Amino acid sequence: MSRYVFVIPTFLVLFFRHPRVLRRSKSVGGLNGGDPVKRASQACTPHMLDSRSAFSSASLVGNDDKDYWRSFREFLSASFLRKQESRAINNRIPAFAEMTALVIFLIFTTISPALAMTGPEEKLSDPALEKRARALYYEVRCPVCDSQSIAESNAGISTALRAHIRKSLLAGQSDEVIIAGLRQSYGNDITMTPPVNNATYALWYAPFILLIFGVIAAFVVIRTANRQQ
Amino acid sequence: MTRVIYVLPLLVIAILAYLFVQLLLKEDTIELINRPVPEFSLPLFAQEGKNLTQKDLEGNIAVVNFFASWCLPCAVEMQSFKIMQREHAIRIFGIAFNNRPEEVDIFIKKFGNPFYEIALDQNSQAAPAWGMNALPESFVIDAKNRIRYHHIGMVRPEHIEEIFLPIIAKLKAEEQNR
Repeated sequence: MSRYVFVIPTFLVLFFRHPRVLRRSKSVGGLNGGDPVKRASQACTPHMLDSRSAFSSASLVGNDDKDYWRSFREFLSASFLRKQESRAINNRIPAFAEMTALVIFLIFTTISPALAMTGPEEKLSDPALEKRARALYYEVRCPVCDSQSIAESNAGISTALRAHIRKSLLAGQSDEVIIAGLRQSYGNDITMTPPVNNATYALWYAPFILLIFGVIAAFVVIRTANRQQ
Repeated sequence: MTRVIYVLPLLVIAILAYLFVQLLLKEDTIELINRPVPEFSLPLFAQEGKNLTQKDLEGNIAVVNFFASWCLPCAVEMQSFKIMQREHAIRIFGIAFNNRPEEVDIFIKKFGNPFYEIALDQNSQAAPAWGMNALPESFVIDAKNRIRYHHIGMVRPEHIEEIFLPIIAKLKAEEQNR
Protein backbone atom coordinates (compact mmCIF):
# COMPACT_ATOMS: atom_id res chain seq x y z
CA MET A 1 0.00 0.00 0.00
CA SER A 2 2.85 2.36 0.85
CA ARG A 3 3.95 2.39 -2.79
CA TYR A 4 0.78 4.33 -3.66
CA VAL A 5 1.96 7.13 -1.40
CA PHE A 6 4.69 7.75 -3.99
CA VAL A 7 2.86 6.66 -7.10
CA ILE A 8 -0.33 8.72 -6.78
CA PRO A 9 1.45 12.10 -6.30
CA THR A 10 3.83 11.16 -9.15
CA PHE A 11 0.87 10.43 -11.37
CA LEU A 12 -0.86 13.68 -10.42
CA VAL A 13 2.28 15.72 -11.02
CA LEU A 14 2.87 14.07 -14.39
CA PHE A 15 -0.75 14.55 -15.35
CA PHE A 16 -1.00 18.21 -14.41
CA ARG A 17 2.37 19.01 -15.95
CA HIS A 18 1.26 17.51 -19.23
CA PRO A 19 1.21 20.15 -21.99
CA ARG A 20 -2.33 19.27 -23.02
CA VAL A 21 -3.63 19.62 -19.50
CA LEU A 22 -1.77 22.86 -19.01
CA ARG A 23 -3.06 24.16 -22.32
CA ARG A 24 -6.61 23.28 -21.36
CA SER A 25 -6.38 25.01 -18.03
CA LYS A 26 -5.00 28.01 -19.84
CA SER A 27 -7.98 27.95 -22.19
CA VAL A 28 -10.34 27.82 -19.25
CA GLY A 29 -8.52 30.82 -17.86
CA GLY A 30 -9.74 32.92 -20.79
CA LEU A 31 -6.68 32.78 -23.01
CA ASN A 32 -8.37 30.69 -25.66
CA GLY A 33 -7.79 31.22 -29.33
CA GLY A 34 -4.74 31.77 -31.48
CA ASP A 35 -2.31 29.20 -32.80
CA PRO A 36 -2.64 25.84 -30.95
CA VAL A 37 1.05 25.06 -31.43
CA LYS A 38 2.02 28.40 -30.00
CA ARG A 39 -0.43 27.90 -27.13
CA ALA A 40 1.05 24.50 -26.33
CA SER A 41 4.50 25.96 -26.41
CA GLN A 42 3.50 28.77 -24.12
CA ALA A 43 1.68 26.40 -21.84
CA CYS A 44 4.79 24.61 -20.75
CA THR A 45 7.14 27.48 -20.18
CA PRO A 46 8.47 27.64 -16.64
CA HIS A 47 6.59 30.86 -16.09
CA MET A 48 3.20 29.32 -16.91
CA LEU A 49 4.01 26.21 -14.93
CA ASP A 50 4.77 28.41 -12.00
CA SER A 51 1.26 29.81 -11.91
CA ARG A 52 -0.52 26.54 -12.68
CA SER A 53 1.36 23.82 -10.84
CA ALA A 54 0.91 22.74 -7.26
CA PHE A 55 4.45 23.93 -6.59
CA SER A 56 3.48 27.53 -6.48
CA SER A 57 6.33 29.73 -5.37
CA ALA A 58 4.07 31.53 -2.92
CA SER A 59 3.28 28.28 -1.15
CA LEU A 60 6.95 27.53 -0.58
CA VAL A 61 8.31 30.84 0.63
CA GLY A 62 7.24 34.42 0.95
CA ASN A 63 6.81 36.59 -2.15
CA ASP A 64 10.17 38.28 -1.54
CA ASP A 65 11.97 35.10 -2.41
CA LYS A 66 9.70 34.33 -5.33
CA ASP A 67 12.25 35.05 -8.04
CA TYR A 68 14.94 33.15 -6.23
CA TRP A 69 12.85 29.98 -5.97
CA ARG A 70 11.56 30.35 -9.50
CA SER A 71 15.08 30.50 -10.89
CA PHE A 72 16.03 27.47 -8.86
CA ARG A 73 13.06 25.49 -10.14
CA GLU A 74 13.64 26.60 -13.69
CA PHE A 75 17.21 25.47 -13.43
CA LEU A 76 16.15 22.02 -12.22
CA SER A 77 13.34 21.47 -14.68
CA ALA A 78 14.73 23.17 -17.77
CA SER A 79 15.60 20.00 -19.69
CA PHE A 80 12.37 18.27 -18.74
CA LEU A 81 10.29 21.23 -19.87
CA ARG A 82 12.19 21.54 -23.12
CA LYS A 83 11.32 17.94 -23.89
CA GLN A 84 7.69 18.58 -23.12
CA GLU A 85 7.63 21.66 -25.29
CA SER A 86 8.98 19.86 -28.30
CA ARG A 87 6.54 17.02 -27.73
CA ALA A 88 3.62 19.41 -27.51
CA ILE A 89 4.75 21.24 -30.62
CA ASN A 90 5.13 18.05 -32.59
CA ASN A 91 1.74 17.02 -31.23
CA ARG A 92 2.07 13.56 -32.66
CA ILE A 93 0.73 11.56 -29.74
CA PRO A 94 -2.63 12.59 -28.34
CA ALA A 95 -2.60 13.38 -24.64
CA PHE A 96 -5.23 10.73 -24.00
CA ALA A 97 -3.04 7.98 -25.49
CA GLU A 98 -0.06 9.16 -23.50
CA MET A 99 -1.97 9.22 -20.27
CA THR A 100 -3.48 5.78 -21.00
CA ALA A 101 0.04 4.43 -21.54
CA LEU A 102 1.09 6.04 -18.27
CA VAL A 103 -1.85 4.51 -16.40
CA ILE A 104 -1.08 1.06 -17.85
CA PHE A 105 2.58 1.49 -16.89
CA LEU A 106 1.63 2.46 -13.34
CA ILE A 107 -0.79 -0.45 -13.04
CA PHE A 108 1.89 -2.92 -14.10
CA THR A 109 4.56 -1.42 -11.88
CA THR A 110 2.46 -1.03 -8.77
CA ILE A 111 0.10 -3.97 -8.86
CA SER A 112 0.71 -6.48 -6.08
CA PRO A 113 2.34 -9.68 -7.30
CA ALA A 114 -0.03 -12.60 -7.57
CA LEU A 115 -0.12 -14.75 -4.51
CA ALA A 116 1.75 -18.00 -4.87
CA MET A 117 -0.65 -19.97 -2.69
CA THR A 118 -3.53 -21.20 -4.74
CA GLY A 119 -4.86 -24.47 -3.36
CA PRO A 120 -7.78 -24.59 -0.93
CA GLU A 121 -5.52 -26.45 1.50
CA GLU A 122 -3.58 -23.19 1.81
CA LYS A 123 -6.56 -21.36 3.26
CA LEU A 124 -7.57 -21.23 6.89
CA SER A 125 -11.26 -21.53 7.63
CA ASP A 126 -11.19 -18.76 10.24
CA PRO A 127 -11.09 -15.42 8.35
CA ALA A 128 -9.28 -13.65 11.20
CA LEU A 129 -6.53 -16.28 11.24
CA GLU A 130 -6.35 -16.24 7.45
CA LYS A 131 -5.85 -12.47 7.55
CA ARG A 132 -3.02 -12.83 10.07
CA ALA A 133 -1.51 -15.68 8.06
CA ARG A 134 -1.46 -13.56 4.90
CA ALA A 135 0.15 -10.66 6.73
CA LEU A 136 2.83 -13.04 8.00
CA TYR A 137 3.37 -14.52 4.52
CA TYR A 138 4.25 -11.02 3.30
CA GLU A 139 6.50 -10.42 6.30
CA VAL A 140 8.54 -13.62 5.92
CA ARG A 141 11.20 -13.70 3.24
CA CYS A 142 11.65 -16.70 0.98
CA PRO A 143 15.13 -17.96 1.99
CA VAL A 144 16.07 -19.06 -1.52
CA CYS A 145 14.56 -16.23 -3.60
CA ASP A 146 15.69 -12.71 -4.39
CA SER A 147 13.65 -10.16 -2.45
CA GLN A 148 10.49 -12.21 -2.52
CA SER A 149 8.24 -12.95 0.38
CA ILE A 150 6.89 -16.44 0.87
CA ALA A 151 3.49 -15.09 -0.25
CA GLU A 152 4.89 -14.57 -3.74
CA SER A 153 7.14 -17.60 -3.99
CA ASN A 154 6.39 -21.10 -5.16
CA ALA A 155 9.68 -22.54 -3.86
CA GLY A 156 9.31 -25.72 -1.82
CA ILE A 157 10.62 -24.06 1.32
CA SER A 158 8.14 -21.18 0.93
CA THR A 159 5.29 -23.68 0.81
CA ALA A 160 6.78 -25.31 3.90
CA LEU A 161 7.07 -21.99 5.71
CA ARG A 162 3.48 -21.07 4.87
CA ALA A 163 2.35 -24.44 6.21
CA HIS A 164 4.46 -23.85 9.33
CA ILE A 165 2.83 -20.43 9.87
CA ARG A 166 -0.68 -21.87 9.46
CA LYS A 167 0.12 -24.67 11.87
CA SER A 168 1.55 -22.23 14.42
CA LEU A 169 -1.48 -19.93 14.13
CA LEU A 170 -3.84 -22.85 14.62
CA ALA A 171 -1.81 -23.82 17.70
CA GLY A 172 -2.61 -20.37 19.12
CA GLN A 173 0.83 -18.80 18.77
CA SER A 174 1.09 -15.03 18.45
CA ASP A 175 2.61 -13.37 15.37
CA GLU A 176 5.61 -12.26 17.44
CA VAL A 177 6.31 -15.78 18.67
CA ILE A 178 6.09 -17.19 15.14
CA ILE A 179 8.49 -14.57 13.79
CA ALA A 180 10.85 -15.05 16.74
CA GLY A 181 10.88 -18.81 16.12
CA LEU A 182 11.72 -18.31 12.45
CA ARG A 183 14.45 -15.80 13.34
CA GLN A 184 15.95 -18.38 15.64
CA SER A 185 16.12 -20.93 12.82
CA TYR A 186 16.96 -18.64 9.92
CA GLY A 187 18.43 -15.50 11.44
CA ASN A 188 17.25 -11.91 11.00
CA ASP A 189 17.24 -12.20 7.22
CA ILE A 190 14.06 -14.25 7.32
CA THR A 191 11.89 -11.15 7.70
CA MET A 192 11.37 -8.63 4.92
CA THR A 193 11.99 -5.77 7.38
CA PRO A 194 15.11 -6.28 9.47
CA PRO A 195 14.75 -5.60 13.21
CA VAL A 196 16.13 -2.36 14.64
CA ASN A 197 19.15 -3.31 16.74
CA ASN A 198 22.84 -2.49 17.13
CA ALA A 199 23.69 -4.33 13.93
CA THR A 200 21.06 -2.58 11.82
CA TYR A 201 21.13 1.02 13.08
CA ALA A 202 23.22 2.09 10.07
CA LEU A 203 20.79 0.37 7.73
CA TRP A 204 17.76 2.10 9.21
CA TYR A 205 19.07 5.59 9.88
CA ALA A 206 21.67 6.12 7.15
CA PRO A 207 19.09 7.28 4.55
CA PHE A 208 17.83 9.98 6.93
CA ILE A 209 21.36 11.12 7.75
CA LEU A 210 22.21 11.27 4.05
CA LEU A 211 18.98 13.14 3.34
CA ILE A 212 19.81 15.75 5.99
CA PHE A 213 23.28 16.19 4.54
CA GLY A 214 21.82 16.37 1.04
CA VAL A 215 19.44 19.14 2.08
CA ILE A 216 22.25 21.03 3.84
CA ALA A 217 24.52 20.62 0.80
CA ALA A 218 21.77 21.83 -1.57
CA PHE A 219 21.09 24.81 0.69
CA VAL A 220 24.78 25.76 0.83
CA VAL A 221 25.21 25.40 -2.94
CA ILE A 222 22.09 27.44 -3.73
CA ARG A 223 22.96 30.14 -1.23
CA THR A 224 26.50 30.42 -2.60
CA ALA A 225 25.19 30.60 -6.17
CA ASN A 226 22.67 33.20 -5.15
CA ARG A 227 25.29 35.36 -3.43
CA GLN A 228 27.53 35.17 -6.49
CA GLN A 229 24.64 36.37 -8.65
CA MET B 1 34.93 26.76 8.18
CA THR B 2 34.27 26.28 4.44
CA ARG B 3 36.73 23.39 4.38
CA VAL B 4 34.90 21.71 7.24
CA ILE B 5 31.63 21.98 5.31
CA TYR B 6 33.20 20.23 2.33
CA VAL B 7 34.93 17.53 4.38
CA LEU B 8 31.99 16.74 6.68
CA PRO B 9 29.80 14.95 4.06
CA LEU B 10 32.79 12.88 2.98
CA LEU B 11 33.45 11.97 6.58
CA VAL B 12 29.82 10.96 7.15
CA ILE B 13 29.79 8.88 3.95
CA ALA B 14 33.06 7.20 4.99
CA ILE B 15 31.63 6.34 8.43
CA LEU B 16 28.43 4.99 6.90
CA ALA B 17 30.38 2.98 4.32
CA TYR B 18 32.47 1.49 7.12
CA LEU B 19 29.33 0.55 9.09
CA PHE B 20 27.73 -1.03 6.01
CA VAL B 21 30.84 -3.06 5.23
CA GLN B 22 30.96 -4.23 8.86
CA LEU B 23 27.29 -5.19 8.58
CA LEU B 24 27.91 -7.16 5.40
CA LEU B 25 30.99 -8.91 6.74
CA LYS B 26 29.38 -9.79 10.02
CA GLU B 27 28.09 -13.34 10.02
CA ASP B 28 24.46 -13.62 10.94
CA THR B 29 24.28 -15.06 14.41
CA ILE B 30 21.84 -17.85 13.77
CA GLU B 31 21.15 -19.58 17.02
CA LEU B 32 20.64 -22.87 15.25
CA ILE B 33 24.14 -24.03 16.06
CA ASN B 34 24.50 -25.41 19.59
CA ARG B 35 20.72 -25.41 19.89
CA PRO B 36 18.89 -28.62 20.85
CA VAL B 37 17.42 -30.54 17.94
CA PRO B 38 13.92 -29.14 17.31
CA GLU B 39 11.01 -31.26 18.38
CA PHE B 40 9.57 -33.33 15.57
CA SER B 41 7.72 -36.55 15.00
CA LEU B 42 7.72 -37.95 11.48
CA PRO B 43 6.55 -41.33 10.17
CA LEU B 44 9.34 -43.73 9.36
CA PHE B 45 9.73 -45.01 5.85
CA ALA B 46 8.71 -48.68 5.41
CA GLN B 47 7.87 -49.05 9.11
CA GLU B 48 4.14 -48.84 9.44
CA GLY B 49 2.93 -46.93 12.51
CA LYS B 50 6.41 -45.99 13.76
CA ASN B 51 7.71 -42.45 14.05
CA LEU B 52 11.12 -40.84 14.23
CA THR B 53 11.38 -38.19 16.94
CA GLN B 54 14.21 -36.00 18.24
CA LYS B 55 14.65 -38.45 21.11
CA ASP B 56 15.67 -41.21 18.68
CA LEU B 57 18.71 -39.14 17.71
CA GLU B 58 19.99 -38.85 21.28
CA GLY B 59 22.99 -40.75 22.55
CA ASN B 60 25.00 -40.90 19.35
CA ILE B 61 26.81 -38.50 17.13
CA ALA B 62 24.75 -38.51 13.97
CA VAL B 63 24.24 -36.82 10.66
CA VAL B 64 20.73 -35.74 9.66
CA ASN B 65 20.24 -35.23 5.94
CA PHE B 66 17.26 -33.54 4.31
CA PHE B 67 16.79 -34.91 0.82
CA ALA B 68 14.11 -35.44 -1.83
CA SER B 69 13.70 -37.82 -4.74
CA TRP B 70 13.38 -34.91 -7.19
CA CYS B 71 16.61 -33.28 -6.04
CA LEU B 72 19.59 -34.10 -8.24
CA PRO B 73 22.37 -33.00 -5.82
CA CYS B 74 20.67 -35.21 -3.20
CA ALA B 75 21.13 -38.18 -5.51
CA VAL B 76 24.77 -37.26 -6.16
CA GLU B 77 25.63 -36.88 -2.47
CA MET B 78 24.37 -40.39 -1.69
CA GLN B 79 27.83 -41.54 -2.79
CA SER B 80 29.42 -39.47 -0.01
CA PHE B 81 26.97 -40.76 2.58
CA LYS B 82 27.67 -44.33 1.54
CA ILE B 83 31.37 -43.69 2.19
CA MET B 84 30.55 -42.12 5.58
CA GLN B 85 28.36 -45.01 6.57
CA ARG B 86 30.54 -47.82 5.21
CA GLU B 87 34.04 -46.59 5.99
CA HIS B 88 33.51 -44.40 9.04
CA ALA B 89 30.46 -46.03 10.62
CA ILE B 90 28.63 -42.72 10.92
CA ARG B 91 24.95 -42.94 11.70
CA ILE B 92 22.98 -41.02 9.10
CA PHE B 93 19.30 -40.20 9.39
CA GLY B 94 17.47 -39.19 6.23
CA ILE B 95 14.45 -36.90 6.19
CA ALA B 96 12.62 -37.04 2.88
CA PHE B 97 11.19 -33.58 2.22
CA ASN B 98 7.79 -33.50 0.46
CA ASN B 99 8.12 -37.08 -0.76
CA ARG B 100 5.70 -39.95 -0.81
CA PRO B 101 6.94 -43.39 0.38
CA GLU B 102 6.86 -44.82 -3.16
CA GLU B 103 9.06 -41.97 -4.40
CA VAL B 104 11.58 -42.61 -1.62
CA ASP B 105 11.49 -46.31 -2.48
CA ILE B 106 12.42 -45.61 -6.11
CA PHE B 107 15.13 -43.17 -4.99
CA ILE B 108 16.94 -45.56 -2.65
CA LYS B 109 16.65 -48.44 -5.10
CA LYS B 110 18.32 -46.27 -7.72
CA PHE B 111 20.96 -44.45 -5.67
CA GLY B 112 21.46 -46.74 -2.67
CA ASN B 113 20.46 -46.41 0.97
CA PRO B 114 23.15 -45.12 3.32
CA PHE B 115 20.58 -44.17 5.97
CA TYR B 116 20.16 -45.66 9.40
CA GLU B 117 16.52 -44.56 9.31
CA ILE B 118 14.44 -42.55 6.85
CA ALA B 119 11.60 -40.31 8.04
CA LEU B 120 8.97 -38.81 5.77
CA ASP B 121 8.36 -35.07 6.05
CA GLN B 122 5.45 -35.18 3.64
CA ASN B 123 3.73 -32.03 4.85
CA SER B 124 6.99 -30.16 5.40
CA GLN B 125 6.38 -30.00 9.14
CA ALA B 126 9.97 -30.37 10.28
CA ALA B 127 11.93 -28.33 7.74
CA PRO B 128 11.19 -24.76 9.02
CA ALA B 129 12.22 -25.59 12.58
CA TRP B 130 15.54 -26.92 11.25
CA GLY B 131 16.11 -23.68 9.37
CA MET B 132 16.17 -25.46 6.05
CA ASN B 133 16.69 -23.30 2.96
CA ALA B 134 17.11 -25.51 -0.07
CA LEU B 135 17.86 -29.16 -0.58
CA PRO B 136 20.12 -30.88 0.18
CA GLU B 137 21.08 -29.85 3.70
CA SER B 138 22.82 -31.84 6.40
CA PHE B 139 23.30 -31.38 10.14
CA VAL B 140 25.79 -32.93 12.53
CA ILE B 141 24.18 -33.75 15.88
CA ASP B 142 26.15 -34.45 19.04
CA ALA B 143 25.32 -37.15 21.57
CA LYS B 144 23.46 -34.63 23.70
CA ASN B 145 21.12 -33.94 20.80
CA ARG B 146 22.41 -30.51 19.90
CA ILE B 147 22.97 -29.24 16.37
CA ARG B 148 26.70 -28.64 15.96
CA TYR B 149 27.10 -28.10 12.25
CA HIS B 150 24.83 -27.10 9.38
CA HIS B 151 25.96 -28.00 5.87
CA ILE B 152 24.07 -26.24 3.10
CA GLY B 153 24.29 -27.92 -0.29
CA MET B 154 25.69 -31.17 -1.56
CA VAL B 155 28.14 -33.15 0.58
CA ARG B 156 31.03 -33.93 -1.76
CA PRO B 157 33.40 -36.84 -1.06
CA GLU B 158 36.17 -34.37 -0.13
CA HIS B 159 33.88 -32.77 2.48
CA ILE B 160 34.01 -35.99 4.50
CA GLU B 161 37.72 -35.60 5.27
CA GLU B 162 37.77 -31.84 5.26
CA ILE B 163 34.63 -31.04 7.26
CA PHE B 164 32.65 -33.94 8.67
CA LEU B 165 35.39 -36.14 10.14
CA PRO B 166 37.17 -33.29 12.00
CA ILE B 167 33.83 -32.14 13.51
CA ILE B 168 32.89 -35.66 14.51
CA ALA B 169 36.37 -36.24 16.01
CA LYS B 170 35.99 -33.01 18.00
CA LEU B 171 32.59 -34.09 19.28
CA LYS B 172 33.94 -37.50 20.26
CA ALA B 173 36.80 -35.83 22.13
CA GLU B 174 34.32 -33.55 23.94
CA GLU B 175 32.30 -36.58 24.94
CA GLN B 176 35.34 -38.42 26.28
CA ASN B 177 36.44 -35.41 28.31
CA ARG B 178 33.13 -35.25 30.14
